[in-house]
Amino acid sequence: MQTVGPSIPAVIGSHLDAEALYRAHSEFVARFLLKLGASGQDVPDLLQEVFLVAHRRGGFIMGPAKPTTWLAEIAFRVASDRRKKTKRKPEDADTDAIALLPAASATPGEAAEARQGLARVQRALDSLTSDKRVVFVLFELEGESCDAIAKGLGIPVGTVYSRLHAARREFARVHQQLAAEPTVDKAVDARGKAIAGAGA
Amino acid sequence: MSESDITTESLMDGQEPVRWLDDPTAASGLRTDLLHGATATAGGVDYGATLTALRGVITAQTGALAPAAIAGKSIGLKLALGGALAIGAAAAWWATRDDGAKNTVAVKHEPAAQLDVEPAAATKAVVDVARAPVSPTPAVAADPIPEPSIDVDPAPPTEPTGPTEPAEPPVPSEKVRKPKPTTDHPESDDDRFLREAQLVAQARKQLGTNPQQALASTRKHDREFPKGALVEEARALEIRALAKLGRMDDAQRKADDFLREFGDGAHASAVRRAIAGDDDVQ
Repeated sequence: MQTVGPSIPAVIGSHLDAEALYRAHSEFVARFLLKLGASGQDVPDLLQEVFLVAHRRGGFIMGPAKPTTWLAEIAFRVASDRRKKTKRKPEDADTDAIALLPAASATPGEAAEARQGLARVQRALDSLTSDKRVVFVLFELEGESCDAIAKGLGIPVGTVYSRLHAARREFARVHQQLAAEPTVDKAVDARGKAIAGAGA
Repeated sequence: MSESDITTESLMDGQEPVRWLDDPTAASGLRTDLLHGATATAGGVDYGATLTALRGVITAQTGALAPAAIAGKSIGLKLALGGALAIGAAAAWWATRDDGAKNTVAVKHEPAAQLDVEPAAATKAVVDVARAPVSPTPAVAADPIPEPSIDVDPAPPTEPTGPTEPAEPPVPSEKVRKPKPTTDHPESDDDRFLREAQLVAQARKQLGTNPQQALASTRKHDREFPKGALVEEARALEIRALAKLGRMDDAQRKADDFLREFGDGAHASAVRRAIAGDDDVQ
């Protein structure tokens, strides 16, 4: 049976209150907020705000939309509102304890590559407009279908297609540029190898 | 043409596109990086503390304990959490009140007895949240709740339904009656936004049970926040309320204007459904 969370069956018409949604999808929402470009410092507040809005809307009733894309629409709106109202200093980002982390890697080298790859993805995402970014993230990174995205965001599926199309072109263009650049980690790795070589 | 361009071509033919991660024709470097993005997790988030804070705000609002959360931006969250700990006493107080009160706010969502966080753990969570870095702008959830009655459960309305004549009634006084905070400073942008969000949330909630009141709330929004951040949603709710009231001419006229301005917006489909008589909101 399809589920809407770790142990919640997806029964049409069933109701999920804010806490049930939080238990099932808080990690998704936090991750999604970061992929939308929210700063780590803002994530706890935004996370709480998303589920408070979900509560205000009376919770989620299983229907055509999925809880994840339904929450994504709220998160997108909440994050956009916050972005309009908050101007953070760039250096604040360096102090964020909350951030996207790559999956665990077997070796330090793989971990470094994962960090670099994730950084390229985030920078390429930064090149997208918010409307395109939300569609791209949901489709390419979160694995949602275009139909689910359309229902969740309340937009025609054709609009999802067109935004995804435009987002892909822009993302690929920027990613290609970034992939050609030497990264900080690469430079650090190179220095580390040079030092190791000198010491050998 | 790059591989990425090739893979995007299928998007425009109306077929569900293939994720780049699943598309062997996509550039391998791109797929590798996307895999890192797809498998990344949000590190450093204290989900337990945030859940405790969320419960606190919800119970504070639902139990009409908003004054506990009104004290100020920097301490609002802590006070709201304090409200969570105090909700047991508040729930008992509500339970012993005269049941017939019209302004009773149903305490259904999060009674304190259901909280599975031990008081000590909750207190720790308060401290954790208080220590956690917060943005200069406090969360809406932690902000003052000037109109706590908007966040009642989606239970049948306790107030009498509005009149049946087309003219929308004023928003019932018990819905908006609250003592004005005796602040020494003017309303901040955040406070104003919160009031606007609450008014729109109220309209959204009323739409399913009392479209006449929903319409009144949207009109109030239009008067108080003509250039607010939620104008689009408020206007969509107004159209949906009109349609639910059978005022299709008005709804159609406003929908035409709305769709010209927000035709690609998040609420356009809901507006289209409403004027097509297919608004399934409960």
